[in-house]
Amino acid sequence: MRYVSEFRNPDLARRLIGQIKEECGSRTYRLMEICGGHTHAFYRFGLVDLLYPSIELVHGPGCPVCVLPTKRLDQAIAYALNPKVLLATYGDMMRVPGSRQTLVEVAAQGADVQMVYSPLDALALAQHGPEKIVIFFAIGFETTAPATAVTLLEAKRKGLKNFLVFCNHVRLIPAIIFILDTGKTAIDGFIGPGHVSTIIGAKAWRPVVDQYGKGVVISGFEPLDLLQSVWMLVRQIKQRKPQVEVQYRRSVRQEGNPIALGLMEQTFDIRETFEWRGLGWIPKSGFEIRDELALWDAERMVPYEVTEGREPRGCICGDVLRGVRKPWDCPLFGKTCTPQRPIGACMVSSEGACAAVYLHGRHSHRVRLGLQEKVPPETLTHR
Amino acid sequence: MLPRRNGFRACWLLAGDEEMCLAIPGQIIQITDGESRLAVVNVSGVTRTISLRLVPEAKEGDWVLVHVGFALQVLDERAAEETLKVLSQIQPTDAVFGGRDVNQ
Repeated sequence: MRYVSEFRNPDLARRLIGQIKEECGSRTYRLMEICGGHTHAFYRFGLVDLLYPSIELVHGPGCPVCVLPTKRLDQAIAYALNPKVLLATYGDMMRVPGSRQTLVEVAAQGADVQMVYSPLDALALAQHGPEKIVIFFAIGFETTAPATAVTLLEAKRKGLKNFLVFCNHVRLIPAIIFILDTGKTAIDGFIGPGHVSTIIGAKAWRPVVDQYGKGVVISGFEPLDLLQSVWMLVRQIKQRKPQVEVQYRRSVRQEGNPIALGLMEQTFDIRETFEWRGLGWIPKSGFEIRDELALWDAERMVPYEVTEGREPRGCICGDVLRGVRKPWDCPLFGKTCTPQRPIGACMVSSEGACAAVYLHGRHSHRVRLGLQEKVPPETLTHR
Repeated sequence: MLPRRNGFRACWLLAGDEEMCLAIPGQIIQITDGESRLAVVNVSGVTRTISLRLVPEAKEGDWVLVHVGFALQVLDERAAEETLKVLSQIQPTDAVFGGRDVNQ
């Protein structure tokens, strides 16, 4: 068992697609894949075209880089511009445009910004370079929050005085409930995120089923995982028996990872409200560092300066994140906004919907159809 | 600006392996520090030291899901085999692919 190649068998994929098409008949089902990793896998393996027109995929808000409001990034940039500070963050965050510049640009101007693979690497930077204050710019959903939690506890245990965390961790389920409450996006069911659910557990999704009557199938990230999940979800919808099903059984348990949840409990409180790009303020959707760990909380230890963030003009990231519009509906898509020179966050991140469509969409009939509706056909000849 | 075709390749490299929310299966080769739960894992051919703080039950030889330097969960081999077994029993249908030629 290698856990990857087995789940990429093209013959089985063909059979599954056949079953899905038969199950769907002439109807089109609108399924939201919440996780940005799923969005990329659907495009990368060409599944969007193979499932069209039976399945219409609505891309969800599951991209931590994309949903972070510009204001928070501006604050991180303000930290980085302080000569005493070394700002450490994940690679994805480096090229996201803030109101004026990106972290890469401020690094080029002399600010100390370092890309890290793990928050523990940021902690090591603080230990080995005591002359600088290391601020770890923490982002991510529940998948990533436990890593930050362990790092914070480790900093406390070691009594490090030059390590701070700028906490931007968010909770996924409140955002999904928010989308369902606003009711602007028509969705038949959800393909649940495998890695967030590995931590929070399958049972955390009960409210979506109990209160909103929408089925959730928690899926893995390989093509067969995704196809099987789509199949399971369509059958649920047809039988009108919404429930939480787990396709990604090799990793997702009902109760999640209790140790990770316990560590998060020890380190984080739930914020009253937190701002999301495109969605606005969502109650109980963010994590903040607990009072006991205030000495390691950048927001409390270093004054907060930024009050107003500026979203790029013309960018429709917000609508894309809500699933209301598609990346190709954006006037900037593929023209001024490309992964080399991104204008909106959805084009930067390796989980953003715009980047997925741009990177893999040139093979996709569905994307070309979408673009053709918007731009005159002659401009597409190079594709 | 890079020509478009090269551009695609360049961005694919940028969007490469270190994706934020992406967790990758890796096999534990050796637990190097029992007390602080550090282990060397093989993640698609690359060895890397990660923390097993979130999975105390993990032992050498186990496959774990690796994310930002931490193992998130021990992968359940039996569950994976059961999933594959269900998949292998799916019957072929005569559904037409995409309903039309996707290359048109």
